[in-house]
Amino acid sequence: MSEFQDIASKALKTATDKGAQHALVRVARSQSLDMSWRKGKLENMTSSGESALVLDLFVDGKYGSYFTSDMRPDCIDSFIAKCIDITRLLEEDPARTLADPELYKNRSQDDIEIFDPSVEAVTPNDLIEYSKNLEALTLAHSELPILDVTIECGISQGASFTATTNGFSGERKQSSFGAYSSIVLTDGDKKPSDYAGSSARFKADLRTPQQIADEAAHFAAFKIGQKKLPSANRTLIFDRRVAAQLIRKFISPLSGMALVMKSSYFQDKIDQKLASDLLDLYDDPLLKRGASSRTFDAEGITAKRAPIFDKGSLKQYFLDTYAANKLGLKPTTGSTSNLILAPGSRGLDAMIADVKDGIYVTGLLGGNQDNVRGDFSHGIVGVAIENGKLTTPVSEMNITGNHNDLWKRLSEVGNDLRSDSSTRIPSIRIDDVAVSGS
Amino acid sequence: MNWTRRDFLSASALAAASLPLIGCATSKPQSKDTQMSAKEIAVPACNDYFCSRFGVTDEMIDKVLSKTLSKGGQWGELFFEHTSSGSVNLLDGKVSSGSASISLGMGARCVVDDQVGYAFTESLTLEDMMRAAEAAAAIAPGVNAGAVNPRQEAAFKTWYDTNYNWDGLDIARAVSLIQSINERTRAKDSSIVQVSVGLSWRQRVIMVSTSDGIRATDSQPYFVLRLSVVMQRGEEKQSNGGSIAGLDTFESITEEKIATLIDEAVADTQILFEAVKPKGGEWPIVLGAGASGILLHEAIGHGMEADFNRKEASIFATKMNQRVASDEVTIGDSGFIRGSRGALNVDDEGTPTQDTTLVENGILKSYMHDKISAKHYGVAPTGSGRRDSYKWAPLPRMRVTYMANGTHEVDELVKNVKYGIFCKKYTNGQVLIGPGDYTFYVKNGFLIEDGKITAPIKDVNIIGNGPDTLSKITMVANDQKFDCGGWTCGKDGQSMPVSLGMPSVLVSAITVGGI
Repeated sequence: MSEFQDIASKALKTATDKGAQHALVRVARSQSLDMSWRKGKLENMTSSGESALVLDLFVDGKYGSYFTSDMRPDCIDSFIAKCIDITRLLEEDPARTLADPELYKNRSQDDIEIFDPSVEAVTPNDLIEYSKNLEALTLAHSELPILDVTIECGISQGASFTATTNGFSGERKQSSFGAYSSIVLTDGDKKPSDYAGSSARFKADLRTPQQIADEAAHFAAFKIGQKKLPSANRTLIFDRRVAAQLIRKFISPLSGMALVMKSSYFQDKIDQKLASDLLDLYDDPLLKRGASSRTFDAEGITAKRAPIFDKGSLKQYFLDTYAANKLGLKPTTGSTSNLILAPGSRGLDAMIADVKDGIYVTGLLGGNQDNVRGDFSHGIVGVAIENGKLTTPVSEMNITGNHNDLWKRLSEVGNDLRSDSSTRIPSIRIDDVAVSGS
Repeated sequence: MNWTRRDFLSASALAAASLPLIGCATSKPQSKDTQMSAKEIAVPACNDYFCSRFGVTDEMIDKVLSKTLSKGGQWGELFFEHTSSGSVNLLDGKVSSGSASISLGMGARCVVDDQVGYAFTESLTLEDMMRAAEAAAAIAPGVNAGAVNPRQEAAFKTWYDTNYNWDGLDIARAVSLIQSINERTRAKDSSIVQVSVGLSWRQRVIMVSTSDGIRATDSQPYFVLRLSVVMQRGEEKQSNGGSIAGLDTFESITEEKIATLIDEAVADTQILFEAVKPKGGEWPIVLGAGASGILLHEAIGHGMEADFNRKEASIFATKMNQRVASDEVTIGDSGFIRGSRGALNVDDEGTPTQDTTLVENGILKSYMHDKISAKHYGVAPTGSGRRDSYKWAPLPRMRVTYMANGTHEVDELVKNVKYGIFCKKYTNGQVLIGPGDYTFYVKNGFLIEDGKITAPIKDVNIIGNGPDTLSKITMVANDQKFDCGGWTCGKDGQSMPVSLGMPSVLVSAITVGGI
C-alpha cells in the first residue's frame, strides 16, 4: 500500500500545485485469471493485470473526473496538467464539492472479510481441475438432451487507496472467486440454454460444483418444449434470480442523478407507502463477506446499514454529494451495496403450490422502463403453473405494467434467499400482472 | 453472468460513464452511392505511432511474438491500443462536469486451433510484454515453438478520417456547442423542465502485429452527442432523447444534424403525452425505416456471428444456404458505411473489413467470421473480429447491420394492416442465441387501425423468434435509411459501437407487450 499512498499523495500535490483547490485521487490495481473450458479442453485462458489512477478535480468552482492507466510518473504529471486545463474550460457549479469531512467519521473498524488470502495460491491448474469436475458433474445429467456444456471460472484480487485534500484516506483489498456452468440443449430446431453459477469473496463460500451443475440442469430442463400462452392477467412467481433483477430495475430511479434529472417516479415520495407491507428492503454495506461490502463509498462517505423500504414505505434515496447539494438534501451514498429483502417463511415449492393459474418466471429477456412514469415492459421465460403444479415451459411472452402499482401487489416473499450474491433477494409472488402472448 | 474480472476497477469515479442505448435522430437518407465512396488505399498515419511514443520497436515485437509461440502455439498476435477519451456534460443549464481518460495497453494472444491463451499488460516495456506473452503461450502445452513470419503492412480503404484527432479538440468549442443545444432545446417548448446534453469522444489508435505476417494500424475517431429532455404538463411528466454518433470529426456535427436532433427529441417527447398502450398479443407490425435495423441486429445478426455457430449453439447453425426469408429480403453487415458508428477500416485482428452479405434474396449466405471461426469453416475471415479493448481477445461482432431496399412504398405496408403497430424509436434489445428468441423495446410508435396510422404508443416490448420473424417479413419498402444514433452492443462482457440500417418492412405477426 505504501507505493499506492506515495503515488496518491504525489498526485494530490501536483494537482494543488497546478491550481486545483480540491481533489480526490484513487490508485487501484487488480489481477485476475479467467478460463473457459469446453469439450474436455481449455477454450480460453486470460490473465490480466490492470492499474488505474482516478482523479476528481475541483478547480475555481469547476469540476472534472479523470482516469488513466498509464502510470509512468512523468505521464501522470502531464496528464494532471491537462486535466486542470480542461476543468478550467467548464462552468462553475457550487454543487460540485468534495464530501463533507463530517461524513468521513465513525468508519467501521471491523473486518468485513472481503479478502481471502487463499486467492494468491490459486494456479491455472487448480482452475483446470475445478472445470473438469464441474463439466463432468454437468454432463452427468444424462436425462437432458445436452448439446454443449461450457464451464467458466476465475479468480481476481484488487487493492486500492483513496485520498482527498479535505482529510479522507482509506484503503481496500478484495478478492473474488466465480464459477459458472452453461448448458445448451437440443430441442428440435431450437437450442435453448440456461446456466447456474456462484461467486463469492471467499473460496469456502462458493456453492459446491455439484450444486452448480444440478441447478444449471434444473433450469435448462424448463426450456424444453417452450410455448406461448394466450394473453391474460396472471399471478407470477419470480424465481429469486429474476426477483433480484426486477427489484434492481424498480429502485434504479432512487439514484441521485435520476432525481436531479427530474426523471424519477420516486421524486418527493420519501415516507410514502409505495409498495406492499412485505417490501422490507435494506442496504447493508457492512455484511461480512458480502459481494459488495465496503466500509466507505466512492467519495469516502462512511458506509452504514440503511432501510430503503420499510413495510412498503420509501425511506432513502441514493445521493452522492453533488446530487444532495443540487436537491438541498443530505448525502446518503451514491450507490447501492448489498441489497437485502427480508425473507418470508415459506419455500418456493409451497409458493407455487398455492397458484391456480400463473407462471413461474425463471428469466427476463430485454425490455426497458420509463423512469419518469414507471411504465415497463419485459420479455419473460418460465413455466406455466396450473392448479399448483409446474406444467408447460413458456417463452416469447411479455409482462407489461407500471412500477407504481406493481409492488403493491407483492403478496408473498419466500425464504430462499441466498448469500452468494450482492442482491440477497428471495423468490417473490406478484398478483395480477398483464402477460401478453398469443 | 455477472461476475467479471473488471468488477474492481469499475467501482471507480468513472463507473457512471456507460453509454445508454438511446434511440436516435436520423439524418436524411443517404444514397448507397455516397456511402460507398471510399478514399483510395490509405497510407495509415500512425505507422510508427507506438514506436515513437512508447518505444515499441519491431525488434521488441519479434521477440514478444516469439515468446507467445514458445510453447507450440500455431499463431500469435500482439494488439496495441492507445485510447484518449473525453466528455463534456451539461445538466440543469450548466456545463458542470467534464472528463478525460487515457488507456494504454498490449494484449498478447496465442492460438491453437480454437483454443486461445490471452494476457495483457498496461506497461509497454519489453520485460512486461514478455511476461504477458509467456502467460498467453501457456495455453499450448507442447514444446515445438512456432515461427514468426515477416510482416506486411495491410492496405485498406478508409471510411473515416484517420488523420483526425479528437484529443486535439478545443474544449471551449465543445462547451459552447452543448450550451447552445441546451438553449435551443429549451426554447422549443415551455413545458420542458430539464435538459441534459453530453458530447463524448474516444480517439482509438490500434496496431496489430501477428506471427502469420499481418501488420495493420488504424486511428478511429469515435464521438457521441446525446440529448435528453424532460417535459411536465400539470402533474404529468414525460422524457425522451436522441443522439448523433459516428466515426467522424467535430465539424461533421453540422447545423442541419443538430437541428434534426433537437426537433426530433422535442417532438418525440411531446407526443408521449398523447400515447396509449396497445392491446397485448400477436399483431402485424410495420417497422419504420432506419432504427428498426435493431430487428436485424437481434433477430438474425447475433445468430450469424460464427462463434455461436462453431459451437452449434445458434439456431442458424444448420441453415446455411437454406431459405430463411422471402425473395425480397437481403441482409448484410458492413464496415463500409462512411462515418457511421459501425464503420470500420480494418478489424482488431488486422483483417481489412468488408460488406458481408448474410442473406441474399432470402437465402442464408455467410456468417460473420473472425480468424478462428474462418479457419474452422475453411473460409476467409470477414473482417468482423472486434474487441472492446486490449483487455479482451476478439470475437466475431457486427458493424453496420442493414437490409437492402425492396420495391414497395411505405404507405402500401400500412394499408395492409387492420390492427397493428408502427414502430419508430427504440431503446433496448436482447436475444437468446440458441432458441433465437429476441426482444426490442419501442419508445415511440403508433397504432395502425384499418390501414391508417392513428394514436401514438410508447413503452412496449416486442418479443419474437428470429427465424420465425424473418419468414414473416411479407413486404419490404424502398425507403432504406441508416441510423446515426449511439448504439452500443454488449456480448460476453465486451461493449462494441455498432449501427443499423433498414427500409420499412411489414412483419405479419409478432408478440406485442400490452394491457
